[in-house]
Amino acid sequence: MTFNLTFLDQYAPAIHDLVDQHVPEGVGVTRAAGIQRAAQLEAVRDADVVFTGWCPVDADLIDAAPRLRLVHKLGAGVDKIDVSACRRRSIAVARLAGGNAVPVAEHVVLLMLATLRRLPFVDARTRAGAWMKEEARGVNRQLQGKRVGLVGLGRVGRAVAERLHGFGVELVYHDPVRLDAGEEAELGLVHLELEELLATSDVVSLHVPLLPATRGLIDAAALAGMKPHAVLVNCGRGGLVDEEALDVALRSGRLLGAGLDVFATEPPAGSPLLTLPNTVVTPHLAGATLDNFAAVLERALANARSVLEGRPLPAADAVLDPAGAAVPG
Amino acid sequence: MAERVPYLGAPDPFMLETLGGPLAPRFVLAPVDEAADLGEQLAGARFAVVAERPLTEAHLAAAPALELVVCVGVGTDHVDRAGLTGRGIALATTPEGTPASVAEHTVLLLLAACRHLTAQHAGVVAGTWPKWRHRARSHDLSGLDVGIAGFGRIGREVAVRLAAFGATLRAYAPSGVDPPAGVAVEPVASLHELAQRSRALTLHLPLTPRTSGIVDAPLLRRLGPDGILVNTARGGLVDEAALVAALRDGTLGAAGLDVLAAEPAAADHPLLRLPNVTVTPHVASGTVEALRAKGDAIARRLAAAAGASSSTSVVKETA
Repeated sequence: MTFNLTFLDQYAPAIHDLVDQHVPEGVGVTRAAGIQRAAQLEAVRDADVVFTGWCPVDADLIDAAPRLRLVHKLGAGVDKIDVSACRRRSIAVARLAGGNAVPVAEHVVLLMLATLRRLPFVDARTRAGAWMKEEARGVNRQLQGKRVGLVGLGRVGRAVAERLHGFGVELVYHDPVRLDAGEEAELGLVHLELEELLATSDVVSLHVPLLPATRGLIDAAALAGMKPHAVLVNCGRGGLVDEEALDVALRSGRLLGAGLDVFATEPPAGSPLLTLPNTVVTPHLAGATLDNFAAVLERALANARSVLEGRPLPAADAVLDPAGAAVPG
Repeated sequence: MAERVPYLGAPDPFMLETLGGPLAPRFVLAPVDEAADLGEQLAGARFAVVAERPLTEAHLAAAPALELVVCVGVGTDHVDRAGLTGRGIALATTPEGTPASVAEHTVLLLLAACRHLTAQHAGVVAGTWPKWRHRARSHDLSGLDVGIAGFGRIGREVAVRLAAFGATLRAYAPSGVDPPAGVAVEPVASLHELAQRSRALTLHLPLTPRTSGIVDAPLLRRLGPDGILVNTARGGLVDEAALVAALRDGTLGAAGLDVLAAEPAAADHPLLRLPNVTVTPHVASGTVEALRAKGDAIARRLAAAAGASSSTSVVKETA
C-alpha cells in the first residue's frame, strides 16, 4: 500500500539506513529537516502517518497535516501528543506498550549505579588530571544490600526488577494495581504504600505515566519524606518531579544523588540540576538503542497498515482508535 | 588507653573513621607522618595497617616489635614482603566487601560504554541535547556476547549480574570455569577464542609475568569495531599503546577502565583524551560499604592477633 510517512525526530544516518531497509516500497518517507517549529510543520504537510519519538504533536502540527490518519509514538508515553485534537479529526493515536522496556530498564540500572558512584563527575575529574581515589571511596555507594523502591510497576518496572535480581537488593514497589501474590513472589517484590516506600528505600525509581494525578508526585513533601541520603532515578517523565525541590534536596545533601533521563522542560536549558556533581543526566534516551529500533519500526509500520486499512489497533498499543472499540482514559 | 596502630595512608578523616571505628576502644589508627621521626612513631608498634602508601624497609627497621601487617584490600604490591618474611611478621589482607563492589563497577562501566553515558552527560550539561547522536552506536546488554576473562570470586559475581540482563556469557580462566547455580556461562578454551566470540570483554585476571600485556593488538581486533573492553582488574594486563591505537582508529568501539598501567595517571596520558573511554581512579572496590566490611575485618584480625601469644604469629595470610 502507498502512504506518506513523516519522521519528526532527527536520527543519525545509521538509523535512517534502517528506516530505508524496513519501510516497504510505495511508502513516501519525509524526514523533518529540524526540530524547529517551521521544519516540523513543513514536514507533516502531506503526511498520512506521523512517527514521533520525542517531538511533540500539538494542535498546530495536526492542523498543518490535512491528510493525517495516525500519530504513532515510537515509545510508551503520549503526554506530548494532543489526543483531544486528534479525536476531533478522527485521527488514530498509537504507542508501543512495552516496546522499549529492555533498553529503558537497562538505562535505569545504569543510572542507579552511575549515581551511586557519581560516574560522569569522577570520569571528568580523572581526565582533568585529578586522581581522587581516596576521596571517591568515601562517597561511592554499593547497590548490594540496599532497598530499591519502584514507583509504578508496568512492563518497565518488571524489567527493572528482573535485572536487579543479580545485585542482591531488596525490592519493593508501589502501584495502584497490585500484582497477584504469585507474581509478587516470582519477581521478589513486596508492595508498600508510597509513603512507606519513599521513607525506607535507598534507591527510588519512577515508572508511572505522566497524568494530572501524577504531575509533581515527587514534590517537596515527598522528597522530605524520603530516607536521608537516598538516590532518585527518573526515566519516566520529568513532570513527575518538582525540579526546584529536587535541586534543594540535592544541594543540601538530603539526597545522595539523582539520575535523570527526563526533565520538566526538554532540553532543560539552564537547569541548575545539570551542573551538580551528584546528578547524572542523559537526554531522554533511555529507550533508544540501535538494537531495538528495527523491532520498534516494524511494529509501528504494522500498526500504520492496520489504521489505513480500517482494521483495529492491538489493544495495548491503541490510545485512540476510530476503527476499534472506545479506549478508556 | 587504646593501643596505637600505625596507618600507612592519607590521614583522611572519613577513611580513618570507617576503617578505625570498629577498632575502638582497644586500638586506634595513627597515620604515619613520613616527614617526622619514624622511630618515635613505630617503636612500640605490634601491628600496622597499610592502605595506599608503601610499607618499606625503613618502616620495618623502625618497628622492632612488629608482629602483623594488615592491608586494606587484597593488593600487597606496595609492601616489602621479603622484609616481612625475613622477620617472621605476618601479613593479612582484607578481601571483605571487594567482590560485590568490583562486580557492580564492572557492570556500570560496561553499561556506560554500551550507552555512551559520559558523552551523553557532558552533552546535556553543555546544552547540546545529543539525543540522537549516539543511538546508532548504542547497544542493549540483553543478548550481548560478553566474555569474562578470569573466573574467580569477582568474575563469578560479574556473571551473576550480567545473567540477569540476559547477556550471553562465555568465560575463560586458566583454572577452569565453575559457574554459580542457575547462571549459564559457556567455558572457552583460550583468551583469543573468548575475544573472537565476544563483543564485550571484561578482565578479572591477576597480574603476573604470564598475564602482563596479555590484551594486545590482535586480541583487541577480535572484539571488533563495536567491541568494548572493560578493565577493573589491573592496568598491566593491557598493552596500553595498542589500546590507544585501536580506540583511535575505530578497531575497537569503547573502553571502560578503572585501572591503568601506571597510577596515578600521567596528566598527558593519551587514554584520558579519548572520547570513547570512561575512566575512574582505581575505585571499583572503593565503596563506603566495602570499606566498612574491611574495617570490621581489620578489627577481627587485630583482635585475634592480640589475643594470641605475642611471641609467635598465628595469623595466616588470607589473600
